[in-house]
Amino acid sequence: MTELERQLVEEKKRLDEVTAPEELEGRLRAALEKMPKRKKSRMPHWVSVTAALLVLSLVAYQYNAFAYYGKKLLGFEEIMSTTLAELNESGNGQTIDKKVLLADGSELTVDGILTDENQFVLYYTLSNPKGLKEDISFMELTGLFTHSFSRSGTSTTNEEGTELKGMWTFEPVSPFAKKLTLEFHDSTSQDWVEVTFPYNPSAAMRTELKQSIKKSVQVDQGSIRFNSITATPSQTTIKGKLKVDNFDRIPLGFYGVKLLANGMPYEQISGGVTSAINGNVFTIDYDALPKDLDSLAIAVDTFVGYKQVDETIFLHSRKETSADLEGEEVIIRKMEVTSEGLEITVVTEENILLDGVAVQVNDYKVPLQTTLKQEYVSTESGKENKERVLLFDTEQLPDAILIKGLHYEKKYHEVIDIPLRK
Amino acid sequence: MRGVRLVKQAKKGSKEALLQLINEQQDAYYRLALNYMGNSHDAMDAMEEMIVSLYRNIQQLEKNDAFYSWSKTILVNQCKQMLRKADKVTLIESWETIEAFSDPSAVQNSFEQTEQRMDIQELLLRVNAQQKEAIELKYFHDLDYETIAKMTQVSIGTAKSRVFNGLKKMREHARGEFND
Repeated sequence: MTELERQLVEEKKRLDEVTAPEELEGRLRAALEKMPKRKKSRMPHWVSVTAALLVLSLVAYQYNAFAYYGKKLLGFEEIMSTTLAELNESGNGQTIDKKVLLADGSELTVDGILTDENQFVLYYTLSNPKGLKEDISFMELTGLFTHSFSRSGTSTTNEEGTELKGMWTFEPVSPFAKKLTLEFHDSTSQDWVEVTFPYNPSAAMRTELKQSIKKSVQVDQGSIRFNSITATPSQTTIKGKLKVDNFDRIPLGFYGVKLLANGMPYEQISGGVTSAINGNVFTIDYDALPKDLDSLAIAVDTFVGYKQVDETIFLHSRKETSADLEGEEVIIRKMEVTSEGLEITVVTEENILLDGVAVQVNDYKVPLQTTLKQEYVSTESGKENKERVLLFDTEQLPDAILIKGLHYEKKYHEVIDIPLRK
Repeated sequence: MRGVRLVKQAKKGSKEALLQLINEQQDAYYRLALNYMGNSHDAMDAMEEMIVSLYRNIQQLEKNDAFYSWSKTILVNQCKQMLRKADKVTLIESWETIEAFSDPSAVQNSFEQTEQRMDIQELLLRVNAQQKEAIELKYFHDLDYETIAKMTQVSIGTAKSRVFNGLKKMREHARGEFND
């Protein structure tokens, strides 16, 4: 065991002394008591299976297209999100079942896919009776008018380490593609491997709503323009343009932009900003919309803002000082002169970035040289604070610290209604 | 095994069996929730949500002996969901960017010169959020890589490399203090 591991073990021992509060057991019991008793399945299995078969054979006879639907992928329940699991349950997948042998003797099976206009979901199995080495990272999908990069993946391995079930999402594919080629890296042979399988675009899940929005919200240092919303059974995506100078100054992103479906707020599940010729293009992804949709709106609750404060905080003593910059607290925790220069530790709320910082030393103004380190500290009230050490090129303790302005998480509370075309 | 019998009863809908299962490892669950939520009040809230979710979904649990890793995964998901709701989740980027002029080499230097002694919690602040999470789950909560991978929704390989790279980074920062 290395010294570091020994220290980790020591720390675990220390943490293990924490025990659950006595009231916990009672609270758990009460929470459970409130739950209604679970219902048993009403029919014996064979009844429902026979009924399903009967219906299926009737419907399949009537509709040729049915052959492509009604496919449920088995064995992936553990790694699916609720929305995807429900879609799979109701048979929205396409079965592919294409196998390929990898260099180390493992077999990759592309089990099936679930597609719509917002994303492409791939389900796969890796198996090797001698044990699997590692998961695969998929690179991209190509086909006619299609070049979809992979987004993210998740997988689970059985106890013996011989079989892995995984799911990988990609950018959506073109409805013109009849064949798709999946490219990935085989770590044993260090080669790129391709698997091609047929794709039936007509079996993609139908888009439920697609509308332009074309409305903007003004923020302190620019504007957000919402262009369109596309809701598919698996996901809802909003696209638009972003021209906000200080967008990346605080790590807030689009977290304060909610989608309101029937008045219920949905939070961003993923998203991205890419630069384009005139400004940046953004996408925000939300969960699928509810079935009975009455109203839809975008709420810009909070977003990055800027306020000019032009504040001088006098530092009379070396004790901790705090100042109120128009409602935002700034704490000057520590000042010291080190071999690097003057170091000042400043604490604010996590989503605040100070702008135009300098110190006043004997009538001279010394601008900020750099920030040495920054960390997030939880306060007793459960709030997350940001603590950083600012470095100034001087060997003297200052009389005051000057702050021109701050980038912060501003409450805008703007709501954009999206009228539903019915 | 007694546990497996309890899981079977819980699957049939016995609330008492489920409570007993949780009770056996109550402190471990609590510490795990506390790790994410940071305070006792929210940690207990998360566990309430967890037990409700377990009761609803226990029939989906395939392997009875995987009850603990399954339920802890649900607990972690629950915690993350609550944190997101409270807007407290720190985005990954925030660990890397920000404060305009920061220069990584300057950061390194300052550690070496000013920090005399670093305890393990301080070292954990030097690795990124995902590595920190993986290391904590492995070393402080005794979870295996498979469970960690599920909790953090990545492959086992990724979970392993997060722990490995995180430890490596911590060792680098602690250089001069211990000689591995």
